[in-house]
Amino acid sequence: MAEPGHNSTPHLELINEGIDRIKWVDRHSPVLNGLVRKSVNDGSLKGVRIAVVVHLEAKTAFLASILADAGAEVIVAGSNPLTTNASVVEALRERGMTVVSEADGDISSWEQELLAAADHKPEYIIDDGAELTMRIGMHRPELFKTIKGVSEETTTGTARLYAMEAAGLLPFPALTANDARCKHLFDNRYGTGQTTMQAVLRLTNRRVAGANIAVIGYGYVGRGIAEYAKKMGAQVCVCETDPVRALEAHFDGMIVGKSVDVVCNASIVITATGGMRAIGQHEIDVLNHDVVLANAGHHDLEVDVATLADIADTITDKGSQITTYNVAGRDIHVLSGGALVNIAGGSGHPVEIMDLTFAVQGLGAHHLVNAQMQPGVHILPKHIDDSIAAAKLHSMGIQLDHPRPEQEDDFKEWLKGMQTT
Amino acid sequence: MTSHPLHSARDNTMADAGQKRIDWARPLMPVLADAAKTLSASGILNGRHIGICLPIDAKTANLALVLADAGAKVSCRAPGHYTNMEIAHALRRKGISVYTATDEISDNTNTHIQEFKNDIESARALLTSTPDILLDYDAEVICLARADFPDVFARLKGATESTKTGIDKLHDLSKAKALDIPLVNLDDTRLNRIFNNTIGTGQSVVMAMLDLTNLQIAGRSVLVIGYGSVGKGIASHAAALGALVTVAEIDPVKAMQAQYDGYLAKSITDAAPAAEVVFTATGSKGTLTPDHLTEMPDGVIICSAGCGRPEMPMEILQQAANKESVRAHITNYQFSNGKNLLLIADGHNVNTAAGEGSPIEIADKLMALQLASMEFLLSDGSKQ
Repeated sequence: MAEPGHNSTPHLELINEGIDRIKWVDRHSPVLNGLVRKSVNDGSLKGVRIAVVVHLEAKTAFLASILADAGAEVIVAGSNPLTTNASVVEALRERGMTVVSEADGDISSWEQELLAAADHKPEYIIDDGAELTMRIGMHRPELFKTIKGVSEETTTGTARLYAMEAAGLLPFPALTANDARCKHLFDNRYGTGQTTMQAVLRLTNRRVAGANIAVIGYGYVGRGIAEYAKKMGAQVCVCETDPVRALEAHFDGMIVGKSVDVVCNASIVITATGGMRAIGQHEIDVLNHDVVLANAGHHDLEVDVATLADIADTITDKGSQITTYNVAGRDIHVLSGGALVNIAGGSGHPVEIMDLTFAVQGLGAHHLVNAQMQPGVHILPKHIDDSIAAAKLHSMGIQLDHPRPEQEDDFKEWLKGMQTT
Repeated sequence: MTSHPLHSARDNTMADAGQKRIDWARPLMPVLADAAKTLSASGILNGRHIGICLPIDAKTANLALVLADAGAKVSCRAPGHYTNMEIAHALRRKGISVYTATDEISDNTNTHIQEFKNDIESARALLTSTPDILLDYDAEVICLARADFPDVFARLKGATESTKTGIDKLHDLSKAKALDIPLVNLDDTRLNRIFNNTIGTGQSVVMAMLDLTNLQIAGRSVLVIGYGSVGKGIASHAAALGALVTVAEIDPVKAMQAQYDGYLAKSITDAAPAAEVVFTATGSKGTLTPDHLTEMPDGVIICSAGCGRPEMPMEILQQAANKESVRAHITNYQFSNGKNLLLIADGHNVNTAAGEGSPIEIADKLMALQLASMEFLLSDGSKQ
């Protein structure tokens, strides 16, 4: 698609569309607008260079705007080439923010964009999949000296940061936003669960009730998808390599089995492992004709589209983000090129869920700037996590009890007794 | 306004996209394919002219194409807001006439009245082409034929009607002894009630609202008005996704059923103050009144899942102090007291006007029912 000329009507329309999208987020973000603005506007972010590297759509843009409003110098990049929204990019540029990403890129243009973000020498990074942190380590190692902290969004990125720490390659503090309860309990489970089902159904116009749906991976994301699919009437099968989680899936009423035993009956397969090649050659061999494959995990290769492309007799674009690989007479339909289906093929997470997630990220960045933290991976302090949930409940007019002294266990009393005997 | 061949490159690009959607749906419609094979072999459709008045989407397109393959002449007409223009262009390219008003509607600033006039014109165009059978929706075209096209009406071999709204109108005509053609009531079939309404519409209405708003439903207060087969499906899908569901229903037995199904049954007036999202699913005119709107909280989201605008208090909305499009298919009406109301899909039925309609596998059975009805009308059910 040709770039609309600067200040041409299409360009202005694009900017306005982006502004409208961001306004819609503003309207449904009570925690970011209340608690988070109040905290970050204390002056501590003035002039601080923060790179925001998350799927570049309206919610991310709103977080970037809040940090910029607090005086930070914000550099914005997308965390996946397939999820950057052109109108949002233009709207952010219009308000004077540095945006290094363009929509409709590919892996190589995206990697260049990340390096461009690195070259702005961010002091702090709000990262997704540790994509920027990892690349700075690989391609701009000297910049590690100037990085003062990273706050990470996802399960995949958290695993990468722990791996860097274990290898002695993490010279700055990193917060795993993902490990905050206000993130993974809501974003991963409800947010990804709801919107993954939405995107699959929107792209395919298929029905859930009575369908056989396989979910690969039973972490928070897989659990959310499985739960929503089941409640909407699907027969849900789950594969999970962690025995405790697999048992949990069984107790949740899911049919649990090995991937090849599970996917061979499925009409829709959704991957949620956060790893790679969850649907690889072994699984492809047993897939049904007309099966739909969608990915809800961080990696574009969680459904091994590279292998599919290698072994397919024909590859057809069916429009609306559906690619059909014909393998030995069977049509295998992959949604959104194997990228995160709810973002690449939908509008991403619900606004209110990202209000919580980005509150974790915003307050996390503020915490990194203000607390004296040692290098290594850290979890957001519980009182900050709690304050986010409290602010959200308050915005909905929901009040809570406080524990009364007489409701507490009397352990102080009997501990005293144990010490005196 | 008549059906026309594609005249621009843009139309052809749109037709390509529409064709892909039609091709995507086809293998998921095995029941229709089987029924078509039988009907085609019988030769009963040869030379018959079928007027399809259903929302124009990929499923309807597959019905139109199998009818054409079976030897029928096929013309399509749907109200502008229920027409997917990509699909319409793809059908036109296959030689099927598609009468629609959408071509004339350049933006959503058209008033209801203008749009209505154009939709009437597209219906007139269809009737002028003298169909033998009408597959109607909301009984719009049958009623128009009865009123303004007596000759066309008299030579109809029959018609099918798919919606409750349409059946209600036709019952009135029938009582007045003004419906002297055979009419197959598809609304009352179990396939329609159980599968299309409860499962198909339930799923697609809730999903369309979420797609359009990008909001979360877990923990939201949802008011479903009407607990017929559509309302039941919306309530169950919303609740499945974690919503707190209240149901308003005037039929006491259905209201009690809602309460026993685990929802709160209340009057609209009592439920309105806590409603964050409202779905109307009555299929009846005047479901929401200006008084109900007064009771609703600031920022309430309103969607029709029934017959669309007639369910909505459109007059009072038109009097809003400020009307602004805030997002695709979402209009914010602000009243002089500062209160905002978000109307989805301009008050039209949300899953059809702003989504892709019922899921393909479910539409498959409904389209097969249309074929079975035609066979019935053209053999033993036909007028002498």
